Amino acid sequence: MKLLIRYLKKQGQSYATEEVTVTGDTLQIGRGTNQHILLPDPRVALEHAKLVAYQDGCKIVTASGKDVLFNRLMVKNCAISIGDVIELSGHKITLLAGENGCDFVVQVKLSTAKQEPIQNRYQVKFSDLKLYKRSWSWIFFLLVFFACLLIPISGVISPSWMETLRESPLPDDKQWLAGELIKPHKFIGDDCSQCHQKAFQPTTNEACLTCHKTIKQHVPEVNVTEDFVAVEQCTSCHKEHNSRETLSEYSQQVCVDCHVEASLDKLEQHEYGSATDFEQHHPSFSISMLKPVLENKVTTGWDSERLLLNNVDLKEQSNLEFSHQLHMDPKGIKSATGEVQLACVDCHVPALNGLEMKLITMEDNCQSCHQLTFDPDDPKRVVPHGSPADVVLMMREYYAFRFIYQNLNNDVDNPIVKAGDLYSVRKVRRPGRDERLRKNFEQSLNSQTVAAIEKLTKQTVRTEALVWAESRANQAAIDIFERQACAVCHVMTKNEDDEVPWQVEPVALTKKWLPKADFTHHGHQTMACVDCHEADKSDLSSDVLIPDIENCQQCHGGLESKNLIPNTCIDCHDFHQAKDHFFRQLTHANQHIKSLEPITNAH
Amino acid sequence: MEQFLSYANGRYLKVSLFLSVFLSIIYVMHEPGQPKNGGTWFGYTLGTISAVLIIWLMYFGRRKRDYFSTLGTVKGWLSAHVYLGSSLLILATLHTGFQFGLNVHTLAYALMCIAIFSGFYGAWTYVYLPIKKRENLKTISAEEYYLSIEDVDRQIIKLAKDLPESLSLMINSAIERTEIGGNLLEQLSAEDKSCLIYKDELYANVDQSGCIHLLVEELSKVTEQQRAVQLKQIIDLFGRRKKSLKILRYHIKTNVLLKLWLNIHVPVSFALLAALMAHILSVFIYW
Repeated sequence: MKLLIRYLKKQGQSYATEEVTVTGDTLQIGRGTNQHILLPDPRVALEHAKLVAYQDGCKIVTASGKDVLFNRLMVKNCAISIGDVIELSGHKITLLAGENGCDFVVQVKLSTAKQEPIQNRYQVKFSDLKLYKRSWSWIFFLLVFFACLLIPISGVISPSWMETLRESPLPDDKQWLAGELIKPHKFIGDDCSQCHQKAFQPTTNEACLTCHKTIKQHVPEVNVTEDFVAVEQCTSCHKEHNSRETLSEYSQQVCVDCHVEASLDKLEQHEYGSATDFEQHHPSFSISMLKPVLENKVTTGWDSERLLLNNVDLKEQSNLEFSHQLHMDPKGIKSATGEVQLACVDCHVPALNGLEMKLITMEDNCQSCHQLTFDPDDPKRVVPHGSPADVVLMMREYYAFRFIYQNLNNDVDNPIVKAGDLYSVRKVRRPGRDERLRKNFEQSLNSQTVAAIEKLTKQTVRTEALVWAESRANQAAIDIFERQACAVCHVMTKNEDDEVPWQVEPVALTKKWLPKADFTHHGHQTMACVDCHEADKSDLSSDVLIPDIENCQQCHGGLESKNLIPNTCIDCHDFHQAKDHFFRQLTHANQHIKSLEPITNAH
Repeated sequence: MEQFLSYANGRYLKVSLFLSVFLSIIYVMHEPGQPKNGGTWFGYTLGTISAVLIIWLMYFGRRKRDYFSTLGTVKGWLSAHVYLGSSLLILATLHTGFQFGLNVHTLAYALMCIAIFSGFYGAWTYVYLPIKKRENLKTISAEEYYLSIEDVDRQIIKLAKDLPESLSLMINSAIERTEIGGNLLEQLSAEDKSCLIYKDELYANVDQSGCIHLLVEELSKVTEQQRAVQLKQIIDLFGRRKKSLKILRYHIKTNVLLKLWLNIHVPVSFALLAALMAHILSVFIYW
């Protein structure tokens, strides 16, 4: 069988014809190049269908899953006769009667209708979205570059422009703030240049010292030895913008770096032991104790002495006689108002948040029991707690006045006498007693004194008065200075050559025992005083009742301590604690700054 | 595609792990005598390493286009880019000392995190989505699906010519108002917003079901054999159409997912570059 395939291809208005003759009864239809009827269209399968010719007609058989349009229906197989048309993806295949010796003519009319691809009608590609990485990258880069860098930098170059930026909604250098300032620095606000004075230069000490004029340096210049590397920059330790409450929550490594070795305080001629950890490696406490400066065995002043607490011979020399044990007797102690039980706080009152104790004074703390009475007839009458000369003078005046009063006995109703009746002594006076004792009192004055008084006065009455008063005062003074009130607590000396022979040795109580550490009683209120200070067992005022480090170590441990309160160096020690040495400034050059310092450490 | 993850037996994974663990240990051990921050000696070290890493990671964008470069393979570079980029997250976090705030420094850190996490997502898409994409398309290309839809449409229109007017109008409208792709969100959601008009009313035509439903209704009514076959064939064609559209929608979605992350990754990286410059310069201007 012979079959003619005629391709009709559109050329302008007409069709060009191309003919191929095939011998055989089957024509393969498809996109593949091995096909008889070649339809160059991706919609057509490689082997789409086949046309089988018979004597009286043809049959179309499609490949699996394919179909053709025949007679307006999709069909898999169909028989076609001459004049029938089948359609494949718009390409028309018509069966015509044979000619020129061929049994059939198969006319193929290729569709040239170019429809716009469906994907062009929709946005189906990513590129259709027009998201361009490059342009977005430029936009983002320039946005951040201008907002975060260029505009703030322009403000750094021109401070007045920075002010304008800060007042406007434009970006300024506030965004560069690496972390919040600590609370005390908040007042600086957004004025970075207060501390950051020059671009690309670290904050200088001068910037800090503008405000912190009185800060003292850790080690006085006189102490600096050749191998000592001083911490010279404030910022070496104090780091701002770290979102902390303080600038000094630092590792004790900063301290340990130097204090791993013993250090010598040249000024006080005291060597500090090495310390690396409160629990594991810390020397015994050193106290600053007052010591009397003696001249001819008389105290002329006080000196502070640094001593180690673990010294067993440690004795305080305060010139005060006092027994804690006696005063703390749980059964009570005699007072003017009967038996009282004293508590520590009755005398030791914390001051400055417990950093110190208020000064103990005779008037505030002792006198309610230790009344300075001198005349048994007049128990309410006391001498002032002052110099012996004042005491003697007061007693002389008292007895002189009393003599006059006694001689006014007959005129007790006289209004003038009544007006001057200030002394209760008149009522408690026991009649006859004075007469009886007079001779005894007068014997206390030597004959020269009496003679001198008599010569001085010439008048019997005056003589009598003076002798009486002087003798009583003298006797009372001997009693009070040598036997009763003063000698109970004070160290007394006597020099017969002096006008007032008695002298009280000056008393000084050490106010701050541990000036190099900040111990606060305030934080230890849960403890009883005697837990640390063994006052109830101390009979002598020379006993030093400051506990040593072992006492603290019962509760306080080192930084790494697990079952004790972990403590670092600066929990107790103040880095800037020094006597007079201001940071990086020699004292002699800074007298004016020194005068600003309100508190001096009492050593 | 996932070979970049196991490149050279995970060489860069090991390098990154070592770097991260080693520097983390130093971070924990070191006590600078102040709160840990970027300004200690170790902070500066971490900052320098991180900054150099960022520049190097960004250079990958240049290297991958440098087809004549013999400096390693692009696959090796990608592997290093992914793993060292991951370790940057740890190094830069240590550099911050865990101090964050509303400032340019945290901005740089945040941009870096966005770049890194978008990169993580990108690495995941490069490993996972090509498989999904291939599974979805089966053995033929997306182009062929589009062509088959065109073909189906043409056939439907031909078949529908002598149907009652309301039906043929409905079928035309269903073809006309088929939606695929669209803007970014529509491409991403792969939601079918197709609709059709039937008797002057607009109906949704999700997955061509509206149209098929109407045709089935019509089919139940016809008595004529020829018409029934015709309708069945149209229904069948709409079924094929629906299948192709569904595959193409998923294909569009995976395509977007494969490419979109890079549109975040790259611009954010450049923003990071500017923020990094601002961070470094500002720190030293206000030292």
